[in-house]
Order: sequence, then structure tokens, then C-alpha cells
Amino acid sequence: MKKIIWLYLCACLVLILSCVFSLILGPAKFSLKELIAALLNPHNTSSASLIIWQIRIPRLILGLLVGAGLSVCGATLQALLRNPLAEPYTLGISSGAALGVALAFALNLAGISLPLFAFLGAVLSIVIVYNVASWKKFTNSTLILAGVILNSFFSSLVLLLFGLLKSSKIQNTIIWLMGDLSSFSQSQLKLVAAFIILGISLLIFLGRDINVLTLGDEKAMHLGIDVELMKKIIFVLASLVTGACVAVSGIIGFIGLLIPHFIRQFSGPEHRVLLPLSAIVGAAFLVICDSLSRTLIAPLELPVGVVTGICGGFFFLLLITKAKKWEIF
Amino acid sequence: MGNILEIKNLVCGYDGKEVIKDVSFSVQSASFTGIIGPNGAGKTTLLKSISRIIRPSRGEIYFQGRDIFDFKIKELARAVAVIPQSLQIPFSFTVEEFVNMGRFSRLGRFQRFGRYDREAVAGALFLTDTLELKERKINELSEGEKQRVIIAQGLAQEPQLLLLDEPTSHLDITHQVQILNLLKHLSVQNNLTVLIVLHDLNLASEFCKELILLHHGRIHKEGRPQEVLTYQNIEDVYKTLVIVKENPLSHKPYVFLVPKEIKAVR
Repeated sequence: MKKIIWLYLCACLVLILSCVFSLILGPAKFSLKELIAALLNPHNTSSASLIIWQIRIPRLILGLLVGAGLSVCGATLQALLRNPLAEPYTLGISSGAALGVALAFALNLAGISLPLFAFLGAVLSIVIVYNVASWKKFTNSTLILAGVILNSFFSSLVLLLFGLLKSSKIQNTIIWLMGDLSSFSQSQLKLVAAFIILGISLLIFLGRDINVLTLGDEKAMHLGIDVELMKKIIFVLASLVTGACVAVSGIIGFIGLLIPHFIRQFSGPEHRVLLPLSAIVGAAFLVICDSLSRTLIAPLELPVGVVTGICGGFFFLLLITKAKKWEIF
Repeated sequence: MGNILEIKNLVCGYDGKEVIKDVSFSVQSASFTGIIGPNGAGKTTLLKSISRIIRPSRGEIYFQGRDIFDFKIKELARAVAVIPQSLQIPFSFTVEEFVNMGRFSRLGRFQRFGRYDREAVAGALFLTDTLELKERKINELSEGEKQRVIIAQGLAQEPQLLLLDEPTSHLDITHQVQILNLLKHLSVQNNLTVLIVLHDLNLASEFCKELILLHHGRIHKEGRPQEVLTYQNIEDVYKTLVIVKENPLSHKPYVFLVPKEIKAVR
């Protein structure tokens, strides 16, 4: 019990530090003093106040939400598919959502239809991936292979769609497909925040069910779970969160892989602890990555997906080289 | 004592292929019944349909007088625990976390894990002699320890009926006997009904009060070990020549195999 409290404390500390870090860093750098002054006077017209309140805080909130959402989805998908390499990106769920967003753009829709179409795209991908996973011949690694193929297939469709419609925007689309926190509309933030927070809370609430589902369908049923129903509910929630994340930030890869594995080293696989901790640390991690992406090649900006991709790529390799421990390949 | 489980004219299988063809039997409350038979006789399939994994194409299964498909899944899990042949656990839960999951069916959506739940888990750990493994990771245990922990999880469900599918087939004889002793003890002390699929005829003979010998999806013979394990029945079903003698201590039948050379000499 004590250990869990310590873990939460550490996670929150990391979160606060990452927030401070991200508010200070950027094309314009502020001192801690300037930051505090600006935070205390939100209506001040100094440039520091304006930049922090108008630009950095909304972006910070977005980063927190998306980081938390993708991490929780990753942990959930790993549990339900009993596959340590599963996450929204490697399974092609993010790109399914991206295809949904692209369709919504193509149809000139806006507002709530963006996250909604993203949600539908994510559901479509999950249905494909889950059915592939249920075929007996498919092992865990072929499932990931299917996800990767789905990913590049859907991403290509997105580019094709944008190319046909507005070829001038293709540059932006590529950046968005890499995962990007800079080009969201603030009007979307509240809506997406509602989706993500609701989804994460419900998934944490279902933590006990997720624990039992990791034991496989038969054992879970024998322990008293309506497996088909619960899986559907949980997949829908994960799609909702992934869809909302993708609608505002594009395809940010590997967070859902990195964070849950990292947290599990300390918390163990009990999902009622793993999911909230993943949310906190995932939020902090994406915010740090975003700060880096803004400063590494300043004054230019990298898409944040480049930074998470580099970290995640190495980690992915590490995971499959010590795969024996997981008995999956 | 009444019948806890009644199976009437059960027909079931996979993808339209019938594996169990017209099986009827009943299991008395607090009894210890073994299901034996050669590979492919339908032992596991029978257990899977009793535990609701596969739906029978014909026939009925009654648990405590009610059709098992009338039970809610959670309700059935409070009364019947199932121990599979092996269980792949992809995440390294601690033994305690794992056994705690046995309480799932007893907890409401908003209900916290209470004192009584903790006691039930502690009791299950004690009975299976796994209390000292509580903090260990389940994936780091030996096969015998792991199987005992899986049984502990089943006991934490506080079931009336325990279904086991060859729970000892991966274990050495020490652990085999240990687990069967435990089950025997539970059935006598805690009025637990045990229905167990066993591969090893001699283990079945020693531990089960009743035996059901399956052959090609039908019951070839059922009754006490002395009635079922005759050389004639075994030869009919397994197509193997054996000699059956009595164990001098337990007076249960013991099956001896007859190698080919010896057959030739005789």
C-alpha cells in the first residue's frame, strides 16, 4: 500500500516538473520568476503572460490529455489482446482514426464530427485487428505485422484523400500524420478533453475486469466475466480515447508502448494502479517530448511524433530482443 | 445427498462434428468423480460443455436442478470453479493479486475488496499450502507451485463444484499426489464436489470414488473403480493388454502394462 502512495507521489512530481519545463521552454524562453508572474496575472498584457496563457497552456493541456489517453489505451490493448507489443499505433488503430478524420475533412465537416469520425475509424481498425487476432493461425507477432500493414495502408489513403482534395495542404497532412501538437483548433480542445477524460475514467473503473481478462477468455468467463460484452465495451472506450487523441494531434506513435511497460516495472500489472499511473506519467512524457520538439531545431519545430518515434523505436527493438521473457514469438 | 449435477443425453462438439454423442450421468453432492478414457474420447469436450465454454447441440446440463444456461455468468462462477490443464498468464501478477481475482464474481461493480474477501483468499492460500508464495510473481513459480496457486484461485471463488481438466499432467508424482490429496481432503472436509478429468488410470483409481470411462464420445462404463477398471474394459477401450491387480494397502485396482516381449514369451 505504502509503495503505491510513493509511486503516485513520484509520478505527480514528474508531472509537475514536466509542466513547468514545457511552459518555460520554447522559441521564447522565460525564467521561473517570469513564469510565476505570468501565471499569477492571467490578464496582464505582457508578452510573457500572453504567450503562456494563449499559446503554451492550451498546448500543454492538449499534450497532457493526449499523452494520458494514448498511454491508457496502450496498457488496455496490451491486456485485452494479451500482447505486449499492442498499442494504438502498432495495431493501426491510430491510422484508422486518422482516416476517419480525413474523411470528415473531405466531407467538409467540423466540430464534433471530427472526433466522432476518428472514433469510427478506430473502431473499424479494432474490429479488423481483433478478428485477425482470433484466427488460430495468427501469433502475437503476426498480429503486429497486420497492424503495421494496416497502418501504412490507412496512412496512404489519408494522403491520397488530401492529395485529391487540397494538394496544397499535403505538407501539413504529412506533418499531422507524424503526430503534431501545434496545429489544433482551440475550440476542439474542450470537446476532446471531455472524450478523453471520460474514456480514461471508465477504463480505470473497469480495471478489475481488465485484470481478469488478461487470463484469457475461458478463465475470465469461469471467474464470472461476460467476456464478449466486456471486451466490446472496453474496445469501444479505447477507440473513443484514441479517436479523440488522433483528431487533435494526428498519429503519435509508441507512447502507448513505452509508458505502460515502464510503469509495469514498478507497479506490476494490477490495472487499477497501472492505468492511472500510466495516465500521469504518459501525460508528463508527451509534454516533455513536445518541449523537446519545439526546441531541438528552434526556431523550426519538429512534429512531436518524431521525438516519441525515436524513443519508441529503440524501446521496441529492446522489447523484441528480450521477447523470450514474454513467451510470445 | 442429492445430485448436484445432472447431464441428460448430451450431444456436443466443434463445428458440427460431434465429439460427445449422447452422454447421460449424474454427480452426487460432495462426491469425487473421475472422467477417464483414451485421447480423443471427449473428456475435455465434456468438461468444456459442463463449464459452458461450448454450447451443446442437444441434451441438457442441470446444476442444482437448474439448466446451466439459465444462470448468469457471474452467478455460475460463484458456484462452479474450473481448473484448466494449463493457463498462460502473460503478465507477472503476484500470487496474491492472482488469487484475489477469484473473488471477482463475489464483488459488485462498486464494491470494494472487503475483510471477508481477504479471509477467503487467505483460506484458499492456506489450504493449497501457498501462503508463503503470496508476494512472489506467478510467472516465476515452478509448475507445481503455479498449479496449486491456480487451484487456490478456484477455491477463493468458494465454489460447490470444482471441475478440473488433467490438473496434474505437467507435474511429477510428488506434486500429482500432493494435489490429489488436497482435492480429496477438500471434498471430504468442505463438502466440495470434485469432477476431474484424469489421464493416469492408477491415480484415478486411488483417488476417485466414482469413475466414468469415456470411449468415442459415449460412456463405456461407470461406477466404482473396482467395477470400471477391469482388464476387459481397459482392453475394449484402450486396445491394450493389461493386468489389473489390487493395491494391497488401499484395495483399489492397479493397472499393470504388459510390454510386447513378455506377451510374446507367454
